[in-house]
Amino acid sequence: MSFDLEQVVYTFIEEARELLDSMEASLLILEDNPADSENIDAVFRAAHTIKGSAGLFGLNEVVGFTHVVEDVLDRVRAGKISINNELIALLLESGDHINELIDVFAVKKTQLNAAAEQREADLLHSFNQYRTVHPEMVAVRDTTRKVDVCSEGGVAYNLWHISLRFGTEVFRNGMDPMSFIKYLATLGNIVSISTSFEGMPEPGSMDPEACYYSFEIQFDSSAEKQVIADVFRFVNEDCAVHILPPHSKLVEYVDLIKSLPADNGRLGEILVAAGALTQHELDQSLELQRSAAEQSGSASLLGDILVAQRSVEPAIVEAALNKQAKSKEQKSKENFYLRVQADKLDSLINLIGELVIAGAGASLLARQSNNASLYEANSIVSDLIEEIRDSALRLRMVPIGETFNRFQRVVRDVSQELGKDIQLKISGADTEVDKTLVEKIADPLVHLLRNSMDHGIEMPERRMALGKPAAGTLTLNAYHDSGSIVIEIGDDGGGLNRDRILAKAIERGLVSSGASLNDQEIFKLIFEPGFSTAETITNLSGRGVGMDVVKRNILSLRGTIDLDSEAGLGTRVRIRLPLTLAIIDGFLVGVGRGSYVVPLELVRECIELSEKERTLARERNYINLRGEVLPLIFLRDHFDLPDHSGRRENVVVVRSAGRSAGLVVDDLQGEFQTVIKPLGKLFTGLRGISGSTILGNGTVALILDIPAMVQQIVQTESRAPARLHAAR
Amino acid sequence: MNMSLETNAQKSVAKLEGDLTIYSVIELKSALLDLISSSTETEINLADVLEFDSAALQVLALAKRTANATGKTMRISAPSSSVVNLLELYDLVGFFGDSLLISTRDVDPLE
Repeated sequence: MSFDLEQVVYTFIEEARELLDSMEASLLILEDNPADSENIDAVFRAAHTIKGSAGLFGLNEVVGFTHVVEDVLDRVRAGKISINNELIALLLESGDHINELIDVFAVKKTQLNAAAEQREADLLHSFNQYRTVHPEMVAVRDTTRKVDVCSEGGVAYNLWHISLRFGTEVFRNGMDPMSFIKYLATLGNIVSISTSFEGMPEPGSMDPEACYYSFEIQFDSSAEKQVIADVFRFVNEDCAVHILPPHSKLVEYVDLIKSLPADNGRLGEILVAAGALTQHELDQSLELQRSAAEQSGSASLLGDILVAQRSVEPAIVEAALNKQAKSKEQKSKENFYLRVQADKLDSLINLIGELVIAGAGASLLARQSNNASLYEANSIVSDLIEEIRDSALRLRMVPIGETFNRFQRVVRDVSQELGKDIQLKISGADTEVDKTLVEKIADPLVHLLRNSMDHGIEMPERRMALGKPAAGTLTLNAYHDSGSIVIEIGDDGGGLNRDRILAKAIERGLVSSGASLNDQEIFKLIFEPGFSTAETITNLSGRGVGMDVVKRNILSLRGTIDLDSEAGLGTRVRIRLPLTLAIIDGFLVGVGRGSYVVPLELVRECIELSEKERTLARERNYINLRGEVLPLIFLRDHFDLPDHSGRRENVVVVRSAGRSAGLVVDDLQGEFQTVIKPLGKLFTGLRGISGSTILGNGTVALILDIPAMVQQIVQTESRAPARLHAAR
Repeated sequence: MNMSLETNAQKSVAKLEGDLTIYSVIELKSALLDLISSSTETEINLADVLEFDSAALQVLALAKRTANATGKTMRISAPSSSVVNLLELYDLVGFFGDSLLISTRDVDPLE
């Protein structure tokens, strides 16, 4: 039992954090657009749900504080107080405080520290001013509302109100209102009836064969609305019938609507299902809605039409609309999310990894058996395994946008602290990336953003003086690029000061004073440990720790980081990360007796290296590929393998981070689904190898770390450009 | 429908007999409107009306309304049971009330 409760508490904490996140996002939208009632509702719901769930776990401190927040939000929602930036700031801070309360009471199970207690007291004090606004007005509103409900009920004494407007053709169609009213009287008691001839024209033009009757009837009956409506079924075409239920029925309908299953999506259907509306009334109203839309070009709401038609009471429509909103909400949640424990997913992916290996073994045997049908069957299985693998890996993928949105708040807070006006523009939020990667990338990104805001973007006055818009812009962009996800953080600030970086680096002894470095190399210096050029050290960044930590974090994720900057225009940091950490499509190559895996996404093409070209290529370390210089990596030399007198060699052209290189291998063995098995700790220092995998025949193949290899060759290239030129 | 008419200086008394239904409303309308326009006081005796439907009642209502609008008097007298039933069903006794001289039932003790 206690175990279960732990689990549930954990779910609560997760959910509460998500709700707080969405609350924050909505508040930030409200800051720009205070009239957005949808977002006010979203904030209110978040607070409401947190309060409710916290109550279930007896987290009274959370309930107590959240209640105040919810109360204020309720007033906002009811239009009693208007939302302003001051209140939004207060609510944002409250979100943080609720987060801390949950952290302290639900996670750590300790008590608040003095600072948090003080904050809570301050917040409550500030909220009080909103809670005590116009108490008289509130009271008045409340009573009028009650009166409204009564009069909405319409008729006293629990009577039905039936209103009939007979059409002119009733008599000519052989019918007489009398018979319907007599029949109605058999279902209950006609308490009062008021007959009028509203539409009857002046005597001269009055057509005695036309019917001008209309009736307002107070009717006492326990019959269902449908039954009463059926009385007039035969004159439906010629008679406008409006049946309003007695007040007791109203309550009944509202209850009924609330208890309906959630799948009843449309307003009309909900009302018909509850019996508050007959199918005929619905059809009529829909027809009216359609024709009105045709005439005016704009559709009015069905709810409004129904109320205007007096088919249903506003209170019932409201209940049905609430129900509808709830159903929708529930449905969208059901449709989009399924909570799965992460370890279950991990074990599924592990199993699929084993399946891939076993499948490779089976297809190898099938190929060797020379049994065509076995081979065919196996290739179908292989295809399916591939699909399963892809979808399983996709399960772990989440859009990076959720993480990005969290930064809106960071940007808002930091820019206020700095007295700068900074906008964050997000693009590529749909780009998907492995969940574990998302978690690990958030901190380095925050650091980079802060850096840009602190050092990159200038103060508004300075920006104006430079002829830039006063508001600075930060851009955050993500996209997929050949098996990697690329995240770009850009600003339109002052750019990096090349000379100052160089001076600092020389001062710190990172480069010798005579060294000639290109811009790229100079910019990279800021990733060196202990480097900071900021003249003032703020409490945000500039303490000289950070950029090197950022780089280390990115490298540990098998990623790369580089940086472009232009003086006066801004800086752009580009982070490149592998999409996933578990299984990849590999391209198998053989060198000597061993096999190696190249991630397939990085392979551009394969070319044969003929005997003649070989000697030349070996000499120069590059070949001419359609007029481009393609630097070569001889894997045999790279791994120091014994010489092999193969007659042929092949070049696998790979591309990483915008640069191409050729891997010289003995033979090409084709595509292979590769389950990445990490190398042991002992091998973490190995360069050029990113992992290992097990082949179908049980042997081990090493996975080549192509980005590292390409970078290495690019570095050698740029260090010795003279040699290359001479060779050319 | 059958109508017999007695007219003196101030008052016309029309006695309607037989069925007053949709089949005779055109006739009924013109007859009643003629009567109202030609005399200041009209009494319509419905004692011998057999069948009486909503269409006929509607014409009576038209006549009553027209009379009221032109400052004349029209009343129904001695309605038969079929007329009374319908007037009661529609709660129109009051509408013709001040003019229902002799009713088969007690309409208004003050009258």
